[in-house]
Amino acid sequence: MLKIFGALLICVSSTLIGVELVREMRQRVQALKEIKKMLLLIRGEIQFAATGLTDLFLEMGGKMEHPLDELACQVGRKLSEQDGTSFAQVWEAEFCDGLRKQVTALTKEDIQCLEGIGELSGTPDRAMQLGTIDLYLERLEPRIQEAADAVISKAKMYHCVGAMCGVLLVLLLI
Amino acid sequence: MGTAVYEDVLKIFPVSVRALFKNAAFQYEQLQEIRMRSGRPLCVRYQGRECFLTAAGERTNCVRDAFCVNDRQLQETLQLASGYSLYSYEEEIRQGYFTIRGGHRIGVAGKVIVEGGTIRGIRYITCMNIRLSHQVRGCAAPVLPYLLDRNGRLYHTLILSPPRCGKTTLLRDLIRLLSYGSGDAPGRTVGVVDERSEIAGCYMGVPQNDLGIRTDVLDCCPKAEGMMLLIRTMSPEIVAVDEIGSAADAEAIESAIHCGCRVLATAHAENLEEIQRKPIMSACLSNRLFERFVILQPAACGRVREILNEEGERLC
Repeated sequence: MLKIFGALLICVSSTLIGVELVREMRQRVQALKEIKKMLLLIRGEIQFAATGLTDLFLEMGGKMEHPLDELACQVGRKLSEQDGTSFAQVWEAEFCDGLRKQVTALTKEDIQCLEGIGELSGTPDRAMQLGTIDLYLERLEPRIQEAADAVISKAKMYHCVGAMCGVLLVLLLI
Repeated sequence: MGTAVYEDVLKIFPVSVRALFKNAAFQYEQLQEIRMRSGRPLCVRYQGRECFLTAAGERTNCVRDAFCVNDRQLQETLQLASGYSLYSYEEEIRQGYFTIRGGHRIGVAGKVIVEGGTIRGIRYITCMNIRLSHQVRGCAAPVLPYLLDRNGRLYHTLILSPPRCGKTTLLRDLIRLLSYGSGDAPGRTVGVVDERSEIAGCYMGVPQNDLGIRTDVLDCCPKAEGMMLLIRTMSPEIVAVDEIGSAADAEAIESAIHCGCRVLATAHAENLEEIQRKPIMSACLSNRLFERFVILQPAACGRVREILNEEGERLC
Protein backbone atom coordinates (compact mmCIF):
# COMPACT_ATOMS: atom_id res chain seq x y z
CA MET A 1 0.00 0.00 0.00
CA LEU A 2 2.81 2.33 0.95
CA LYS A 3 4.64 1.44 -2.29
CA ILE A 4 1.60 2.28 -4.37
CA PHE A 5 1.17 5.58 -2.56
CA GLY A 6 4.88 6.41 -3.08
CA ALA A 7 4.73 5.49 -6.78
CA LEU A 8 1.63 7.64 -7.21
CA LEU A 9 3.33 10.54 -5.48
CA ILE A 10 6.37 10.30 -7.76
CA CYS A 11 4.20 10.15 -10.90
CA VAL A 12 2.05 13.12 -9.82
CA SER A 13 5.08 15.24 -8.80
CA SER A 14 6.89 14.54 -12.01
CA THR A 15 3.81 15.38 -14.08
CA LEU A 16 3.36 18.61 -12.11
CA ILE A 17 6.96 19.61 -12.90
CA GLY A 18 6.08 19.32 -16.58
CA VAL A 19 2.87 21.29 -16.07
CA GLU A 20 4.77 23.98 -14.16
CA LEU A 21 7.34 24.33 -16.96
CA VAL A 22 4.55 24.81 -19.49
CA ARG A 23 2.81 27.30 -17.19
CA GLU A 24 6.03 29.28 -16.96
CA MET A 25 6.34 29.30 -20.76
CA ARG A 26 2.77 30.56 -21.07
CA GLN A 27 3.47 33.15 -18.38
CA ARG A 28 6.42 34.42 -20.41
CA VAL A 29 4.21 34.88 -23.46
CA GLN A 30 1.62 36.65 -21.32
CA ALA A 31 4.22 38.95 -19.74
CA LEU A 32 5.75 39.85 -23.10
CA LYS A 33 2.29 40.62 -24.51
CA GLU A 34 1.55 42.76 -21.48
CA ILE A 35 4.82 44.66 -21.96
CA LYS A 36 3.89 45.20 -25.60
CA LYS A 37 0.51 46.51 -24.49
CA MET A 38 2.27 48.88 -22.10
CA LEU A 39 4.53 50.19 -24.87
CA LEU A 40 1.51 50.69 -27.13
CA LEU A 41 -0.25 52.63 -24.34
CA ILE A 42 2.84 54.80 -23.87
CA ARG A 43 3.02 55.32 -27.60
CA GLY A 44 -0.62 56.38 -27.84
CA GLU A 45 -0.36 58.79 -24.91
CA ILE A 46 2.74 60.42 -26.36
CA GLN A 47 1.38 60.57 -29.89
CA PHE A 48 -2.04 61.98 -29.15
CA ALA A 49 -1.69 63.81 -25.84
CA ALA A 50 2.07 64.41 -25.45
CA THR A 51 1.63 63.23 -21.85
CA GLY A 52 4.76 63.43 -19.73
CA LEU A 53 6.38 60.20 -18.56
CA THR A 54 5.58 60.77 -14.88
CA ASP A 55 1.83 61.14 -15.41
CA LEU A 56 1.86 58.49 -18.04
CA PHE A 57 3.27 55.84 -15.69
CA LEU A 58 1.14 56.96 -12.75
CA GLU A 59 -2.03 56.60 -14.82
CA MET A 60 -1.04 53.20 -16.13
CA GLY A 61 -2.03 51.43 -12.91
CA GLY A 62 -5.58 50.51 -13.82
CA LYS A 63 -4.81 49.70 -17.44
CA MET A 64 -2.33 46.87 -16.92
CA GLU A 65 -2.35 43.47 -15.28
CA HIS A 66 -0.48 42.63 -12.12
CA PRO A 67 2.47 42.98 -11.49
CA LEU A 68 3.16 45.33 -14.42
CA ASP A 69 0.55 47.80 -13.14
CA GLU A 70 2.30 48.05 -9.80
CA LEU A 71 5.74 48.33 -11.41
CA ALA A 72 4.57 51.09 -13.78
CA CYS A 73 2.99 53.02 -10.89
CA GLN A 74 6.18 52.61 -8.90
CA VAL A 75 8.16 54.14 -11.81
CA GLY A 76 5.67 57.07 -11.89
CA ARG A 77 5.89 57.56 -8.12
CA LYS A 78 9.69 57.53 -8.19
CA LEU A 79 9.77 60.01 -11.10
CA SER A 80 7.41 62.37 -9.28
CA GLU A 81 9.80 62.46 -6.31
CA GLN A 82 12.27 64.38 -8.52
CA ASP A 83 15.16 63.27 -6.35
CA GLY A 84 17.72 63.98 -9.05
CA THR A 85 17.99 60.47 -10.49
CA SER A 86 17.71 60.02 -14.23
CA PHE A 87 14.84 58.21 -15.95
CA ALA A 88 17.27 55.47 -17.01
CA GLN A 89 18.19 54.83 -13.37
CA VAL A 90 14.56 54.82 -12.23
CA TRP A 91 13.55 52.50 -15.07
CA GLU A 92 16.35 50.06 -14.29
CA ALA A 93 15.86 50.09 -10.52
CA GLU A 94 12.07 50.09 -10.37
CA PHE A 95 10.88 48.37 -13.53
CA CYS A 96 13.62 46.03 -14.79
CA ASP A 97 14.65 44.89 -11.31
CA GLY A 98 10.98 44.48 -10.41
CA LEU A 99 10.46 42.29 -13.48
CA ARG A 100 13.48 40.15 -12.57
CA LYS A 101 12.06 39.56 -9.09
CA GLN A 102 8.36 39.27 -9.85
CA VAL A 103 8.14 37.79 -13.35
CA THR A 104 10.64 34.96 -13.22
CA ALA A 105 9.28 33.51 -16.46
CA LEU A 106 11.00 36.27 -18.45
CA THR A 107 14.49 35.44 -19.67
CA LYS A 108 17.56 37.54 -19.05
CA GLU A 109 17.51 38.54 -22.74
CA ASP A 110 13.87 39.62 -22.53
CA ILE A 111 14.70 42.06 -19.76
CA GLN A 112 17.92 43.20 -21.44
CA CYS A 113 15.82 44.07 -24.48
CA LEU A 114 13.74 46.43 -22.30
CA GLU A 115 16.61 48.13 -20.51
CA GLY A 116 17.18 50.58 -23.38
CA ILE A 117 13.72 52.09 -22.83
CA GLY A 118 15.43 54.02 -20.04
CA GLU A 119 16.89 56.26 -22.73
CA LEU A 120 13.38 57.37 -23.78
CA SER A 121 13.50 60.65 -21.91
CA GLY A 122 16.45 62.01 -23.83
CA THR A 123 14.68 62.69 -27.11
CA PRO A 124 13.64 66.28 -27.72
CA ASP A 125 10.80 65.70 -30.17
CA ARG A 126 7.79 63.49 -30.33
CA ALA A 127 8.60 61.88 -33.67
CA MET A 128 11.92 60.65 -32.36
CA GLN A 129 10.30 59.46 -29.15
CA LEU A 130 7.70 57.48 -31.08
CA GLY A 131 10.42 56.09 -33.33
CA THR A 132 12.31 54.84 -30.28
CA ILE A 133 9.20 53.12 -28.94
CA ASP A 134 8.54 51.56 -32.35
CA LEU A 135 12.06 50.18 -32.31
CA TYR A 136 11.42 48.41 -29.00
CA LEU A 137 8.06 47.15 -30.24
CA GLU A 138 9.81 45.67 -33.26
CA ARG A 139 12.37 44.01 -31.03
CA LEU A 140 9.65 42.64 -28.80
CA GLU A 141 7.51 41.15 -31.55
CA PRO A 142 9.87 38.27 -32.55
CA ARG A 143 10.35 37.44 -28.86
CA ILE A 144 6.59 37.12 -28.39
CA GLN A 145 6.37 34.99 -31.52
CA GLU A 146 9.26 32.78 -30.45
CA ALA A 147 7.79 32.34 -26.94
CA ALA A 148 4.34 31.53 -28.37
CA ASP A 149 5.84 29.00 -30.82
CA ALA A 150 7.74 27.39 -27.96
CA VAL A 151 4.48 26.90 -26.05
CA ILE A 152 2.84 25.23 -29.07
CA SER A 153 5.77 22.99 -29.87
CA LYS A 154 6.91 22.12 -26.36
CA ALA A 155 3.80 22.11 -24.19
CA LYS A 156 2.68 18.58 -25.11
CA MET A 157 6.24 17.29 -24.93
CA TYR A 158 6.78 18.75 -21.42
CA HIS A 159 3.52 17.22 -20.20
CA CYS A 160 4.43 13.81 -21.63
CA VAL A 161 8.07 13.88 -20.53
CA GLY A 162 6.98 14.91 -17.03
CA ALA A 163 4.56 12.02 -16.73
CA MET A 164 6.91 9.51 -18.39
CA CYS A 165 9.85 10.46 -16.15
CA GLY A 166 7.64 9.74 -13.15
CA VAL A 167 6.69 6.35 -14.49
CA LEU A 168 10.32 5.56 -15.37
CA LEU A 169 11.49 6.55 -11.91
CA VAL A 170 8.81 4.37 -10.33
CA LEU A 171 9.84 1.39 -12.52
CA LEU A 172 13.48 1.90 -11.61
CA LEU A 173 12.74 2.12 -7.92
CA ILE A 174 10.51 -0.98 -7.95
CA MET B 1 6.89 80.20 1.71
CA GLY B 2 9.96 81.43 -0.18
CA THR B 3 12.02 78.55 1.19
CA ALA B 4 9.47 75.99 0.02
CA VAL B 5 9.40 77.51 -3.47
CA TYR B 6 13.21 77.64 -3.51
CA GLU B 7 13.37 73.94 -2.54
CA ASP B 8 10.86 73.20 -5.27
CA VAL B 9 12.90 75.09 -7.87
CA LEU B 10 16.06 73.19 -6.87
CA LYS B 11 14.36 69.95 -7.88
CA ILE B 12 15.03 70.79 -11.51
CA PHE B 13 18.79 70.44 -10.95
CA PRO B 14 20.83 67.26 -10.72
CA VAL B 15 22.15 66.42 -7.26
CA SER B 16 25.59 67.96 -7.88
CA VAL B 17 24.19 71.38 -8.88
CA ARG B 18 21.44 71.20 -6.27
CA ALA B 19 24.09 70.96 -3.54
CA LEU B 20 25.69 74.22 -4.71
CA PHE B 21 22.43 76.12 -4.48
CA LYS B 22 21.66 74.63 -1.09
CA ASN B 23 25.01 75.87 0.20
CA ALA B 24 24.52 79.27 -1.40
CA ALA B 25 21.19 79.59 0.46
CA PHE B 26 19.74 82.27 -1.80
CA GLN B 27 16.60 84.11 -0.75
CA TYR B 28 14.09 83.04 -3.35
CA GLU B 29 12.43 86.46 -3.56
CA GLN B 30 15.75 88.01 -4.62
CA LEU B 31 16.72 85.29 -7.08
CA GLN B 32 15.79 86.27 -10.62
CA GLU B 33 17.66 84.18 -13.13
CA ILE B 34 19.92 81.15 -13.36
CA ARG B 35 21.95 80.67 -16.52
CA MET B 36 23.59 77.38 -17.45
CA ARG B 37 25.87 77.10 -20.46
CA SER B 38 27.74 73.94 -21.30
CA GLY B 39 31.38 74.26 -20.21
CA ARG B 40 30.82 77.79 -18.90
CA PRO B 41 30.36 79.23 -15.41
CA LEU B 42 27.02 78.89 -13.68
CA CYS B 43 25.61 82.40 -13.66
CA VAL B 44 23.02 83.69 -11.23
CA ARG B 45 21.18 87.01 -11.19
CA TYR B 46 20.58 87.74 -7.54
CA GLN B 47 19.36 91.01 -6.03
CA GLY B 48 19.56 92.56 -9.49
CA ARG B 49 23.25 91.70 -9.95
CA GLU B 50 25.10 88.91 -11.68
CA CYS B 51 27.15 86.54 -9.55
CA PHE B 52 28.75 83.10 -9.85
CA LEU B 53 28.96 80.11 -7.57
CA THR B 54 32.17 78.37 -6.56
CA ALA B 55 32.44 74.58 -6.48
CA ALA B 56 31.71 74.83 -2.76
CA GLY B 57 28.52 76.76 -3.41
CA GLU B 58 29.79 80.15 -2.25
CA ARG B 59 28.86 83.31 -4.10
CA THR B 60 31.65 85.01 -6.00
CA ASN B 61 32.13 87.74 -8.56
CA CYS B 62 35.37 86.23 -9.81
CA VAL B 63 34.92 84.19 -13.02
CA ARG B 64 38.10 82.17 -12.37
CA ASP B 65 36.67 80.75 -9.15
CA ALA B 66 33.31 79.99 -10.72
CA PHE B 67 31.89 76.50 -10.98
CA CYS B 68 31.54 75.45 -14.62
CA VAL B 69 28.52 73.46 -15.77
CA ASN B 70 29.32 70.38 -17.84
CA ASP B 71 27.14 69.07 -20.65
CA ARG B 72 25.89 66.14 -18.63
CA GLN B 73 24.66 68.41 -15.83
CA LEU B 74 22.95 70.61 -18.37
CA GLN B 75 21.23 67.66 -20.05
CA GLU B 76 20.18 66.25 -16.68
CA THR B 77 18.74 69.63 -15.74
CA LEU B 78 16.77 69.66 -18.97
CA GLN B 79 15.42 66.19 -18.22
CA LEU B 80 14.48 66.98 -14.64
CA ALA B 81 12.96 70.35 -15.53
CA SER B 82 10.83 68.79 -18.25
CA GLY B 83 9.70 65.95 -15.99
CA TYR B 84 11.81 63.52 -18.06
CA SER B 85 9.60 64.41 -21.03
CA LEU B 86 11.25 67.01 -23.20
CA TYR B 87 9.07 65.87 -26.10
CA SER B 88 5.95 67.11 -24.31
CA TYR B 89 7.33 70.67 -24.60
CA GLU B 90 8.11 70.29 -28.31
CA GLU B 91 5.87 73.16 -29.41
CA GLU B 92 7.20 75.54 -26.77
CA ILE B 93 10.82 74.60 -27.40
CA ARG B 94 10.27 75.48 -31.03
CA GLN B 95 9.72 79.02 -29.75
CA GLY B 96 12.82 78.81 -27.59
CA TYR B 97 11.42 78.28 -24.11
CA PHE B 98 9.18 76.15 -21.97
CA THR B 99 7.35 76.81 -18.72
CA ILE B 100 7.53 74.43 -15.80
CA ARG B 101 5.46 73.88 -12.67
CA GLY B 102 5.51 77.08 -10.64
CA GLY B 103 5.40 79.26 -13.75
CA HIS B 104 9.17 79.44 -14.14
CA ARG B 105 10.25 79.94 -17.73
CA ILE B 106 13.22 78.10 -19.17
CA GLY B 107 14.75 79.63 -22.27
CA VAL B 108 16.90 77.30 -24.34
CA ALA B 109 19.47 77.73 -27.10
CA GLY B 110 21.38 75.24 -29.19
CA LYS B 111 21.32 73.92 -32.72
CA VAL B 112 18.15 75.02 -34.44
CA ILE B 113 16.63 72.57 -36.90
CA VAL B 114 15.08 74.43 -39.82
CA GLU B 115 12.92 72.81 -42.47
CA GLY B 116 11.47 74.76 -45.37
CA GLY B 117 12.35 78.04 -43.71
CA THR B 118 10.50 77.28 -40.45
CA ILE B 119 11.96 76.19 -37.15
CA ARG B 120 11.26 72.49 -36.51
CA GLY B 121 12.94 72.36 -33.13
CA ILE B 122 16.12 72.81 -31.16
CA ARG B 123 18.57 69.95 -30.74
CA TYR B 124 21.84 69.84 -28.83
CA ILE B 125 20.60 72.33 -26.27
CA THR B 126 23.70 73.83 -24.67
CA CYS B 127 22.39 77.00 -23.02
CA MET B 128 19.57 77.43 -20.55
CA ASN B 129 18.16 80.52 -18.92
CA ILE B 130 15.90 79.76 -15.99
CA ARG B 131 13.76 82.81 -15.25
CA LEU B 132 12.10 82.43 -11.91
CA SER B 133 8.53 83.50 -11.54
CA HIS B 134 7.72 85.82 -8.67
CA GLN B 135 4.36 86.94 -7.51
CA VAL B 136 4.59 90.31 -5.82
CA ARG B 137 1.17 90.58 -4.30
CA GLY B 138 -0.04 94.11 -3.94
CA CYS B 139 2.66 95.68 -6.11
CA ALA B 140 -0.04 97.06 -8.41
CA ALA B 141 -2.19 98.53 -5.64
CA PRO B 142 -0.67 102.05 -5.81
CA VAL B 143 -1.01 102.05 -9.62
CA LEU B 144 -4.56 100.78 -9.91
CA PRO B 145 -6.43 103.98 -8.88
CA TYR B 146 -4.84 105.82 -11.83
CA LEU B 147 -6.14 103.18 -14.21
CA LEU B 148 -9.79 103.26 -13.17
CA ASP B 149 -12.37 105.83 -14.21
CA ARG B 150 -15.03 107.31 -11.98
CA ASN B 151 -17.26 104.26 -12.48
CA GLY B 152 -14.50 101.87 -11.55
CA ARG B 153 -13.98 100.85 -15.18
CA LEU B 154 -10.47 100.16 -16.35
CA TYR B 155 -8.94 102.50 -18.91
CA HIS B 156 -7.34 100.77 -21.87
CA THR B 157 -3.85 100.48 -20.41
CA LEU B 158 -0.41 99.76 -21.81
CA ILE B 159 2.50 98.94 -19.48
CA LEU B 160 5.91 99.83 -20.92
CA SER B 161 9.39 98.81 -19.89
CA PRO B 162 12.52 97.12 -21.23
CA PRO B 163 12.87 93.38 -20.47
CA ARG B 164 13.41 92.28 -16.85
CA CYS B 165 11.90 95.39 -15.29
CA GLY B 166 8.78 93.79 -13.87
CA LYS B 167 6.16 94.34 -16.59
CA THR B 168 4.70 90.88 -16.27
CA THR B 169 4.78 90.99 -12.47
CA LEU B 170 2.84 94.27 -12.49
CA LEU B 171 0.42 92.96 -15.11
CA ARG B 172 -0.17 89.79 -13.08
CA ASP B 173 -0.96 91.75 -9.95
CA LEU B 174 -3.24 94.16 -11.81
CA ILE B 175 -5.17 91.18 -13.18
CA ARG B 176 -5.42 89.72 -9.69
CA LEU B 177 -6.67 92.98 -8.15
CA LEU B 178 -9.17 93.60 -10.95
CA SER B 179 -10.43 90.04 -10.76
CA TYR B 180 -10.91 89.98 -7.00
CA GLY B 181 -12.21 93.54 -6.97
CA SER B 182 -11.44 96.05 -4.28
CA GLY B 183 -13.20 98.78 -2.28
CA ASP B 184 -14.72 100.95 -5.01
CA ALA B 185 -14.25 98.64 -7.97
CA PRO B 186 -16.26 95.43 -8.08
CA GLY B 187 -14.55 92.26 -9.32
CA ARG B 188 -14.35 92.04 -13.10
CA THR B 189 -14.23 89.06 -15.41
CA VAL B 190 -10.74 89.01 -16.85
CA GLY B 191 -9.67 86.99 -19.87
CA VAL B 192 -5.94 86.37 -20.09
CA VAL B 193 -4.20 85.24 -23.25
CA ASP B 194 -0.97 83.80 -21.91
CA GLU B 195 1.01 82.97 -25.01
CA ARG B 196 4.24 82.22 -23.15
CA SER B 197 2.71 80.86 -19.93
CA GLU B 198 4.38 83.70 -18.06
CA ILE B 199 1.39 85.49 -16.58
CA ALA B 200 -0.50 82.59 -15.07
CA GLY B 201 2.41 80.14 -15.22
CA CYS B 202 0.02 77.34 -16.13
CA TYR B 203 1.20 73.81 -15.61
CA MET B 204 -1.01 71.29 -17.40
CA GLY B 205 -3.63 74.01 -17.81
CA VAL B 206 -3.76 74.93 -14.12
CA PRO B 207 -2.61 78.48 -13.27
CA GLN B 208 0.21 78.33 -10.76
CA ASN B 209 -0.02 82.04 -9.99
CA ASP B 210 -2.98 83.66 -8.31
CA LEU B 211 -4.84 85.66 -10.95
CA GLY B 212 -8.05 86.09 -9.01
CA ILE B 213 -11.38 84.31 -8.88
CA ARG B 214 -12.87 85.82 -12.04
CA THR B 215 -10.01 85.12 -14.41
CA ASP B 216 -10.06 82.77 -17.39
CA VAL B 217 -6.73 81.82 -18.90
CA LEU B 218 -5.98 80.70 -22.43
CA ASP B 219 -2.58 79.11 -22.04
CA CYS B 220 0.01 78.85 -24.84
CA CYS B 221 -2.38 80.50 -27.27
CA PRO B 222 -1.23 83.05 -29.85
CA LYS B 223 -2.36 86.47 -28.64
CA ALA B 224 -4.33 87.63 -31.66
CA GLU B 225 -6.37 84.43 -32.04
CA GLY B 226 -6.66 84.07 -28.28
CA MET B 227 -8.17 87.50 -27.73
CA MET B 228 -10.94 86.89 -30.26
CA LEU B 229 -11.50 83.39 -28.95
CA LEU B 230 -11.89 84.66 -25.39
CA ILE B 231 -14.29 87.41 -26.46
CA ARG B 232 -16.44 84.88 -28.32
CA THR B 233 -16.44 82.22 -25.64
CA MET B 234 -15.85 83.73 -22.21
CA SER B 235 -17.20 87.31 -22.64
CA PRO B 236 -14.56 88.98 -20.51
CA GLU B 237 -14.90 92.57 -19.34
CA ILE B 238 -11.14 92.95 -19.45
CA VAL B 239 -8.71 91.27 -21.84
CA ALA B 240 -5.10 91.05 -20.64
CA VAL B 241 -2.10 90.19 -22.81
CA ASP B 242 1.66 90.35 -22.41
CA GLU B 243 4.25 91.71 -24.83
CA ILE B 244 2.22 92.92 -27.77
CA GLY B 245 4.07 94.02 -30.89
CA SER B 246 2.84 92.42 -34.09
CA ALA B 247 0.31 93.80 -36.55
CA ALA B 248 -2.04 90.92 -35.70
CA ASP B 249 -1.83 91.84 -32.00
CA ALA B 250 -2.67 95.49 -32.74
CA GLU B 251 -5.59 94.43 -34.92
CA ALA B 252 -6.92 92.06 -32.26
CA ILE B 253 -6.65 94.76 -29.60
CA GLU B 254 -8.61 97.15 -31.78
CA SER B 255 -11.27 94.49 -32.32
CA ALA B 256 -11.40 93.75 -28.59
CA ILE B 257 -11.89 97.43 -27.84
CA HIS B 258 -14.67 97.64 -30.43
CA CYS B 259 -16.29 94.64 -28.79
CA GLY B 260 -16.61 96.64 -25.57
CA CYS B 261 -13.78 94.98 -23.68
CA ARG B 262 -11.22 96.90 -21.69
CA VAL B 263 -7.65 96.07 -22.65
CA LEU B 264 -4.65 95.64 -20.36
CA ALA B 265 -1.41 94.98 -22.21
CA THR B 266 2.36 95.26 -21.94
CA ALA B 267 5.01 96.06 -24.53
CA HIS B 268 8.79 96.34 -24.69
CA ALA B 269 9.82 100.01 -24.71
CA GLU B 270 11.67 102.31 -22.41
CA ASN B 271 9.32 105.23 -22.90
CA LEU B 272 6.48 106.59 -25.03
CA GLU B 273 8.88 108.02 -27.62
CA GLU B 274 10.41 104.62 -28.21
CA ILE B 275 7.04 103.03 -28.80
CA GLN B 276 6.16 105.81 -31.24
CA ARG B 277 9.16 104.83 -33.31
CA LYS B 278 7.74 101.32 -33.80
CA PRO B 279 5.46 101.48 -36.86
CA ILE B 280 2.78 99.08 -35.64
CA MET B 281 2.65 100.38 -32.10
CA SER B 282 2.70 103.99 -33.24
CA ALA B 283 -0.47 103.27 -35.22
CA CYS B 284 -2.07 102.11 -31.97
CA LEU B 285 -1.06 105.37 -30.34
CA SER B 286 -2.27 107.55 -33.20
CA ASN B 287 -5.61 105.70 -33.14
CA ARG B 288 -5.70 106.43 -29.42
CA LEU B 289 -6.34 102.83 -28.52
CA PHE B 290 -4.75 103.25 -25.12
CA GLU B 291 -5.87 105.72 -22.48
CA ARG B 292 -3.25 105.09 -19.83
CA PHE B 293 0.47 104.31 -20.08
CA VAL B 294 2.34 102.90 -17.11
CA ILE B 295 6.07 103.32 -17.64
CA LEU B 296 8.42 101.38 -15.41
CA GLN B 297 11.81 102.50 -14.22
CA PRO B 298 14.59 100.80 -16.22
CA ALA B 299 16.93 98.65 -14.14
CA ALA B 300 14.71 99.04 -11.09
CA CYS B 301 12.58 95.96 -10.86
CA GLY B 302 8.91 96.80 -10.66
CA ARG B 303 9.27 100.51 -9.84
CA VAL B 304 6.82 102.78 -11.70
CA ARG B 305 8.49 105.83 -13.23
CA GLU B 306 5.38 107.57 -14.48
CA ILE B 307 1.77 107.10 -15.48
CA LEU B 308 0.56 109.04 -18.51
CA ASN B 309 -2.90 109.66 -19.94
CA GLU B 310 -3.83 109.42 -23.62
CA GLU B 311 -2.55 112.97 -24.20
CA GLY B 312 0.83 111.96 -22.80
CA GLU B 313 0.25 114.10 -19.71
CA ARG B 314 1.83 112.87 -16.56
CA LEU B 315 -0.64 111.73 -13.88
CA CYS B 316 1.96 110.67 -11.37
